[in-house]
Amino acid sequence: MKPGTGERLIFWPFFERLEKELSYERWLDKYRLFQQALMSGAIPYDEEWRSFRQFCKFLYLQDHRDEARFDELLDEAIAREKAQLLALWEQIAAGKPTKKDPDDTKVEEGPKEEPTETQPRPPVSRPAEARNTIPTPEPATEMKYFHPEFTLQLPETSPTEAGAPTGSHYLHTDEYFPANRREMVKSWQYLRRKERTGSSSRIHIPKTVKRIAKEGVFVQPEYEDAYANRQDILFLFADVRGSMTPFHELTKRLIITAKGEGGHRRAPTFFFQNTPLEYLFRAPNLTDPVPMKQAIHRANRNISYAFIISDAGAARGNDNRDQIEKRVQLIRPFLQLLQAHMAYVIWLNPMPMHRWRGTAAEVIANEPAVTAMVPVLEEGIYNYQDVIRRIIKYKQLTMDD
Amino acid sequence: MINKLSDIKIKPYPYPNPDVEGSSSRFAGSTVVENGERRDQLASVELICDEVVFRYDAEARPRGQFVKKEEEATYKKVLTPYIPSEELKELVRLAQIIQRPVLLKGEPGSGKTQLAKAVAFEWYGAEYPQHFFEWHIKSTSKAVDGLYTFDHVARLRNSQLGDKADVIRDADGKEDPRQYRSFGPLAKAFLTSTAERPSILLIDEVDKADIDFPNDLLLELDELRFTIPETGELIEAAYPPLIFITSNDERELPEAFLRRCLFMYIKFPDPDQLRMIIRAQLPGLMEAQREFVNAAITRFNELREATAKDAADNKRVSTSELLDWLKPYQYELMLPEAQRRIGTNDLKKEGLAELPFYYHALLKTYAAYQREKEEKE
Repeated sequence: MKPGTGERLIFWPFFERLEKELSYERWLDKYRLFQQALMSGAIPYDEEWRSFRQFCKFLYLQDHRDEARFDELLDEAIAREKAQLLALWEQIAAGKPTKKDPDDTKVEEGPKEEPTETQPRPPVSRPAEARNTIPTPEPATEMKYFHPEFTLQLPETSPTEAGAPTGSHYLHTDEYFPANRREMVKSWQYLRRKERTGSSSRIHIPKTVKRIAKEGVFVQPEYEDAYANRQDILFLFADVRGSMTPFHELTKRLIITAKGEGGHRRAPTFFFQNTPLEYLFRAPNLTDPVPMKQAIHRANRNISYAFIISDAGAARGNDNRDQIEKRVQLIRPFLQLLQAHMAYVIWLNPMPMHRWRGTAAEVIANEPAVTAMVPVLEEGIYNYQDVIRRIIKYKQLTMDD
Repeated sequence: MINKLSDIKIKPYPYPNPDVEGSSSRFAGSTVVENGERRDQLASVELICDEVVFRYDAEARPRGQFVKKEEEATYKKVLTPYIPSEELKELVRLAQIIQRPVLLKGEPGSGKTQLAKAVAFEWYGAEYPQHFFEWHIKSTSKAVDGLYTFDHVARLRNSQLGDKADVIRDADGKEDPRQYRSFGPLAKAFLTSTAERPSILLIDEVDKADIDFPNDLLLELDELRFTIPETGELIEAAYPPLIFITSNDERELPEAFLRRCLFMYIKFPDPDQLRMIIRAQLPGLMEAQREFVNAAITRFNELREATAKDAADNKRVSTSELLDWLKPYQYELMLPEAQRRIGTNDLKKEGLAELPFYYHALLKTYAAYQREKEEKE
């Protein structure tokens, strides 16, 4: 018996929101597990649904830092489900509508299961639309007492009721960017590359056998190569101050995630304001200057990525032709330098793409030295992961030729 | 995966001590009635465990069994009580129903590793080492280490020695490759697990290994079986073992791995629970020095919050540090000639510098040490 077969999936909107707001993947098999566990009666029922909440957390919550937001989402979802249940109860209490469709039996199941079963929702839940239409097509006698307005209210009351008591309008988490920490980490990890670093403590059997065959006697084993993350993959250049001020937090997080869990522990990071001119700065307050050439001396022409985090004039939206031309002229030597020393130059723009039009961002995006300009905040960070994936694919294609 | 609900057997956790009537935990040394309620008096347990060796027999059920090494060969083990929160008890129950690995996260010292052992002891008492398997992950660990190891070097050596080699041969005189393979903790847990006596597997600090490590275990954790290519054997679990995986959150675990796990973050216990833990771990202290212990808990919580806010001191302290605090104090208290060097008032003074010396266990970084010195001056 599958709950909600052919009808509304219980708690499904909750999982959708988990994916959207916490970037948890919507795992179908876990959802199935969720349903099965509910049906099995393994989750004891209590007034506040405490065990149910606990169960949801065990099953879905992946990071305790998300807990506050997770609780909020769950509270809302529970309130919504409860309201819908309540509406159905009232409907049943008011007089069960007679219906000839197979769904009818399920409505009857509801009250019987409630006292014994842990979660009464699965059998009684039905689609909002279905509920709306319940009384209308039947000219049965009960329908006289069953005023259409009453049933029409049901789906409408539920969402508002759901929002009111639980949903706070404050964010209880600092994950308020469309691109959250997990996404950033994942995308930086995607850029890792390994390199050989000496030998590990693991014996390489085929090599050892080969050596014995060659030398006729077993002298010493051959070891497998050890691997470590390359440290010359990522170079970060962040625009600070001025129009970038509102994005400082974003920049900071991009850098922290890259250097931390992202796996680029020693990625060189430099700061500049508007346009780098001969010098870049090691500190975000624009101190500790480094000549541009020295800053990128470790770059590898074949594999290094330069990431520039800047709005490129799109934040202010300055569309004065002369000023744009001046700005591009100023930044061109820097971009050409990067192009000469790096495999790719990726420009991460915190402004959405439609705001680039007519500004310096549009011009810079089309500069030959810039591999791609990507809006980081538009649809999360997957955007630029896609860009990188495409670049790599393109590179492989051209290399094959 | 829940396949047939009727096949699922749930063992209660905590498990009542068979020797103590009315107890709820095996750690109960006795039960007392307090305010009309029966309460366990928890105490450390000294176990006498048999020395055993693991035997694999493809015909027997279960295929992996422990056999006594020799008559009367035993060793001693002392276990201190573990006090699970209500959440943890529920987690253990659900994990048995859902039959998925449990991923435990939490501050170092919050008892992640201890939980698995505690469950094993509660279920099996003195026999717990035969049902409890630990796999401690190192930075060089490979997934295959937990499954089996194949002694290629020994095989190589034997091949060089020719007839002189001490080799087990089958009926056709062919060398039996199974003599070179030995099982890892994961395989042992699979092989010994039965519906009546499910094994418990602890995969400790999974985030220490390479980022791809958890991904290499996906199939084994999903299907609870694997094959050994060298010998062609198929190793599978007759009944899913209870698997605990701990992580210190040093690395983001892969999505595909997270998908398969239940998750729980072990929080720092609240003061009431802390008192229970102290009562169980350091018996006698609470009764003798209630005021002092309460002051210590309060002070510890204050310092914990202060270090959490301090950017220079990134060490989070947890339950185990508090117990470390109280242990030497209790020792001094027990000595008859000892002059009590620490009084309750010592803990009420402001600032870390004012604390008695060994209470500096909280300082974990050089920066914090420097600051503490400056404060003193």
